Amino acid sequence: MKIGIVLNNVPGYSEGFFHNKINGLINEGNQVVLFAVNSENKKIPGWNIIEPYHLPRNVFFRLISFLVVILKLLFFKPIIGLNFLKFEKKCGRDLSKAFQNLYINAHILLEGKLDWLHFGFATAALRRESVAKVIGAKMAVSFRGYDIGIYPIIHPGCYTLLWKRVDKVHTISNDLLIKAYSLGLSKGISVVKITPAIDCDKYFVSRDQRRSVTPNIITIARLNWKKGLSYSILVMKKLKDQGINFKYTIVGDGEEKEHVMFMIKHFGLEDYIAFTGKVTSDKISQYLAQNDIYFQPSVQEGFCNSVLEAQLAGLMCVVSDAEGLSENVLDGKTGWVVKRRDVDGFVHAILNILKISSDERYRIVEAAQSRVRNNFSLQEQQKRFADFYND
Amino acid sequence: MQKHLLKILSIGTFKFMNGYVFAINAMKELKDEGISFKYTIIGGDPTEEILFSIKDLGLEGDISILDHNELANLNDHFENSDVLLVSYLHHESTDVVLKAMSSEMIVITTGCLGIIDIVKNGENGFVVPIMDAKAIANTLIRIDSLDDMNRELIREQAKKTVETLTTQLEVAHNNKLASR
Repeated sequence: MKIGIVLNNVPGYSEGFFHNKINGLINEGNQVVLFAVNSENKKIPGWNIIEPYHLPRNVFFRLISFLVVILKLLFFKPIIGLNFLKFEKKCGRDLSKAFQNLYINAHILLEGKLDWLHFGFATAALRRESVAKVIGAKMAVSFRGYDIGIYPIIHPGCYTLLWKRVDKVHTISNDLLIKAYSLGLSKGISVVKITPAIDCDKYFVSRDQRRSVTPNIITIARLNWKKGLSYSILVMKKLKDQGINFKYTIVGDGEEKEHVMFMIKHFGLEDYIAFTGKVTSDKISQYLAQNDIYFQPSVQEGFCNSVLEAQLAGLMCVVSDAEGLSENVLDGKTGWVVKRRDVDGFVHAILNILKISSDERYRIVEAAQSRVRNNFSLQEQQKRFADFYND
Repeated sequence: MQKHLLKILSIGTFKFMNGYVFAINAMKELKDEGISFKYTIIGGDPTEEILFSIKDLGLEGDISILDHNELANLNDHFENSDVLLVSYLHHESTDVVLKAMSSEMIVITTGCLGIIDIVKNGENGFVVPIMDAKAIANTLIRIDSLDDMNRELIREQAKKTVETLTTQLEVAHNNKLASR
């Protein structure tokens, strides 16, 4: 089977689940072509990566490049090129937009016959809705978080065409699927849920290595508003007001750091909160080992691998109910799930954890670890993706 | 029992330091308390976070965002609103607050430097801590339940405060001119 996967970037080494998925498909005997919008000339051994044709900055060269690509397409794949333009017209796009779309999709159209064209994010399928049909491939799309949770709020109706064309959907959580239905996805479309996965052996820490729960709290997140770090600071302020002598470590960096720093200073939390900045994935295990409570207060979240890693490392997890998080952690069974933005609810959960008996802690850690191992392993993910295209 | 729709107005761009995330969370608290309100923000282009929060909290029908050019009709907006909500985490100017007070609007403001010298909590307006959605919501509920006499009293005090400040400024200005 020949499968084309469209992503914005070539997955980095930290995005193990993408590597795992693609390597798994290759090992199963499939031919995989990765169409990366911004490949930055990254090469991965064994992978066939195809870049789109980039437009030069100079207007003259841009025009030449445009003409060369269009002529190449119409010469080598005239029927595909003309059919694409016909479909674009059918979608109501004017000729200029249709030609622009022909150009940005030329690298996929020139690749020829694929069995599946899979868009790694719903947004990656925008302006590419007709491509699969034109090359005679089935079209799949993945829902990952931002694409379903936020993008359509800013661009209402953006997926109208996508819903008409897609043959199969991959969602990482039920919540995202429900949102997609509310955005107009037909319930008749075939859907498979495959959650993200992690390297279980890398993060596992036996329960006996954690003898007690200390008020050492950690969040691993890009510092972006979606991660709800401002709520975490409000939670820390309340813990401080209650006389809890905690230590909160934020692992990550990003554009929200300035705001978070402002809040920390305003509430006098400088002695309680530490930033590590961005760290390598190898160091994550060390930070997890130094902490006992993992806190993920996101307001929007696809699924969150860090929460899976933390559960496996034996931390007690307090997460918000943002999208996939309430499927990542089962409230009362493998951790605590609190309504997003509910500062008092988060405080209550953390205080509960500090009072918990060792038996109760063991029960929760074991339940979380066993659930992550059984449901979120890389092997399990590979198997499910192989079935995704075969069913 | 609430007799009317509480009309709340805010002015300022959607940068983090203007505290709109906390103001919007306060609106959710108001809604959960069953208070009927209409929150208008003259703020220009909203950020992704603001649009997401409004939708996620189910406030699409309760919050309107207007473009900056609506500032040309500021007096009309003052006239059609009950409360000016200033949720800033840091005040760069007190102009809007003074203008609203002189227009006999009730002001709720965060207690930032510069403002607390002008707005006295419960006397000529209301002061809430910064980044405190619950305090904003509780104060709005308090304002909503004020009887006409107390509401009028606060408005009068606010107007008087601005008049006194203006007189003080004029005197200072005249003294400066005289000393030249």
